[in-house]
Amino acid sequence: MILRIFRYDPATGTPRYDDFEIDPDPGMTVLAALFAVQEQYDDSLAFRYSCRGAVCGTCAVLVNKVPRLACRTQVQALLDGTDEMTLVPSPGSAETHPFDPAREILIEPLPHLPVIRDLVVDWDEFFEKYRALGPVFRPKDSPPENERLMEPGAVHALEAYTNCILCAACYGACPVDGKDPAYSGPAALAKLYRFHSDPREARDGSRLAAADSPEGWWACEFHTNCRRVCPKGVPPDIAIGKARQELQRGGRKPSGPGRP
Amino acid sequence: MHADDVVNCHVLVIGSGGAGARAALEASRYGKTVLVSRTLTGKGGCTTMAEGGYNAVLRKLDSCPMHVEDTLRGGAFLNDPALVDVLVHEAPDRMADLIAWGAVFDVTDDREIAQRPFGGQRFPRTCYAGDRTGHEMMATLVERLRGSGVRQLQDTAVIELLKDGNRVTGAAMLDRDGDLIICYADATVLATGGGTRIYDISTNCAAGTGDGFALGYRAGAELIDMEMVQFHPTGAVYPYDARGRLITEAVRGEGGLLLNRDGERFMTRYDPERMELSTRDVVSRSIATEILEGRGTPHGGVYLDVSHLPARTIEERLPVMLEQFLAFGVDIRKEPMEVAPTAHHIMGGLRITPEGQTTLPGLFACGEVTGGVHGANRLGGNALADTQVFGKRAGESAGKEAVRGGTVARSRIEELRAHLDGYYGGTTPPAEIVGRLRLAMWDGAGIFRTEKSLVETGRVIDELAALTPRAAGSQNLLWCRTVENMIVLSRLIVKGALLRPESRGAHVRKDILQDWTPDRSPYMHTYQSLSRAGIETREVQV
Repeated sequence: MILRIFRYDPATGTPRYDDFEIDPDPGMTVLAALFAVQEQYDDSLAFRYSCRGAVCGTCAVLVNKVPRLACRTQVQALLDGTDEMTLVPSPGSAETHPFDPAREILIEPLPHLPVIRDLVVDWDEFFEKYRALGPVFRPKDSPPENERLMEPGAVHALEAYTNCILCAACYGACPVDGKDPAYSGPAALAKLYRFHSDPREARDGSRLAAADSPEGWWACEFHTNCRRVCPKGVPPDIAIGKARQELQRGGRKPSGPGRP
Repeated sequence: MHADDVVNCHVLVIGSGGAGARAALEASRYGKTVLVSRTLTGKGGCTTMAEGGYNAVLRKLDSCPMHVEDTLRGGAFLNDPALVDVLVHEAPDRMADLIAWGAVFDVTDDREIAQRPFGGQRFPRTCYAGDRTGHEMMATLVERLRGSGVRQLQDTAVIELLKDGNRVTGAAMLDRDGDLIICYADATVLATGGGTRIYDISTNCAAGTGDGFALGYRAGAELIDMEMVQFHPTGAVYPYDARGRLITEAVRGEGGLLLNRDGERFMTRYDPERMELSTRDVVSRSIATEILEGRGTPHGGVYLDVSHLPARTIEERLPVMLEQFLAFGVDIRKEPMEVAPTAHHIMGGLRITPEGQTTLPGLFACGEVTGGVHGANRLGGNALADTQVFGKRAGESAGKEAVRGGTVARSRIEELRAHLDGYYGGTTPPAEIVGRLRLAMWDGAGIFRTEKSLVETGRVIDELAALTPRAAGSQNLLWCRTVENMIVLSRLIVKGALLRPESRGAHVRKDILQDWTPDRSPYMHTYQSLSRAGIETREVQV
């Protein structure tokens, strides 16, 4: 098996692709394959990882043109074609670099974020947009005497969004993020919706208003790439659709390109 | 190329896991606080990976004295009782903080926090958010940090604590390009977490390399009970790539059974009373014994079975486990998992007071890098509580330190720079050194130990310490430094294990016969610093 890896050294400034031949062990993940390259061929190869268990969300890379967690993606399934995913093309993933999916795996940095070195991208922009939406819990009243106010059902409803690990896979998969640098992006909006729907908050519409702009809820075109690539099953497109519906019920005219 | 940046602050917090984030939040109430993360805030560290839960006394039928006693008994009475007292009494309040900040924990139909049973505890007092408890805590803390004034330095790692005389006055750090940053602080909080990545099989994340133990030791702080390493009973055994990955104790808490190759529920022979929910040290040794004596599975583990539970219970209470095993083709609703012990938690660490003060002025510590809270064996669910209780305390103590403005001898920084430059001419790839170290630690300083095995492992460590890790580029300087830290930590563990002539909790010396139970042991803490090493003894009434 050949691992074809995007390389970039800020000192020289010229990107290139390097091929490495790796023996795929049964159960080998893309992350393990990257370790193998580092150990057997080139210990200057740079990539991010931490938990190895799909919880920390640091190892998302573009694998065969699809944003995935390296620690969760099985090499054999990619070669067998049993783990194929087709996304709506987006700027950055559409310019194809040739590879043969039966024997080669193409690994590139997450699109839509600046590359620092090799597979390591600069997340500042991603987190800045997230932060801009004020993702800090604002309870409607002081802490209750009793432990809490939520029913089990409400907890389950929130879990669809609290499961987000902020890995930016959705950000890299979103065609709108690719063409509009001002768009908040799926992860930030899903997180905002999580606070909007938290029954412990005031639910006065201020969360919806925070992204009621052409760069917010209304920018989404419902390609659903975000939901498909999410390693945790979070559905940002559904959150966005619900937010728009609620705004429209409140009399807001849709101003964006897409409709649910 | 070495234009070192200088950062000044009141409190410097090193490490952005549960303890560090909590400490930074608290410290920021007193002055300018900087939080350093080797990766990105909240993404590194093991808190976010913690699955099972958080122990807190919340119900009338439970009590603080009972939680204290469970913790001391679980810790083989090596815990510092003052620290345990603080842990137990403040865990509920710190839990309340998290919920007030928006954390979403599982609840009962009565809208109370749900709790489940964990090993070694007489009351089901472990609070949880499914099996992603740590992730929920971290998400909450990181959101809270965004609303605070804490300055976060990402992709930056501390390589050495800096001192003025005996006082810690800040730290030298490397950024992601390998450039040096100097940080001056009135107080420094070490919250770097654990280090079981020095073992071949480990649950820890990439950051579990024990940097804080090495930083503290090199600066002259005293560490206690470094031989106390917890091997979690249930780590994945295959595929190779998943080896060591944690299978949460919640699986047993929810009713999972341990079976050997013959289908025998073997815990009946080791702890018939507590069975699968015995303490982790006991369960790990039982599993290891089954495997060593030839009753293991084909992949070299034992079976952990939940297939008798309703599918819905598994789907709701253990969703991450279900998903993780499905990815490897095992449906845990229908078939058993295969598990074996994996290096998980270091109970030893920097000696602290209940206020989080280490033995060095200006240096505070909290979380897994400290010793004394968990004694010789940690109870499941006590670590997450530890991060919040002592994170707050250490952050507060650091915040209350006087403003002084530190200085560091210029020559010290030149020395560090020369040391880093030495890696470019190193002898050996870092991965090679680490690979050999991990095997030596697993073989000689693992679940079962003898003087002979420890001395042999010590010999390998000496050999590896004589090599210089080689940096392929400036981005590898940190990895080289980390390798040196891993060697320091390994030495501390091996030396601690040789200093303790008894079996106690997680530390088993097969070459020593003893006629006392842990509560009657004549020994207390082992201690190690640059200036002294030994073991404390006490009078035991006959």
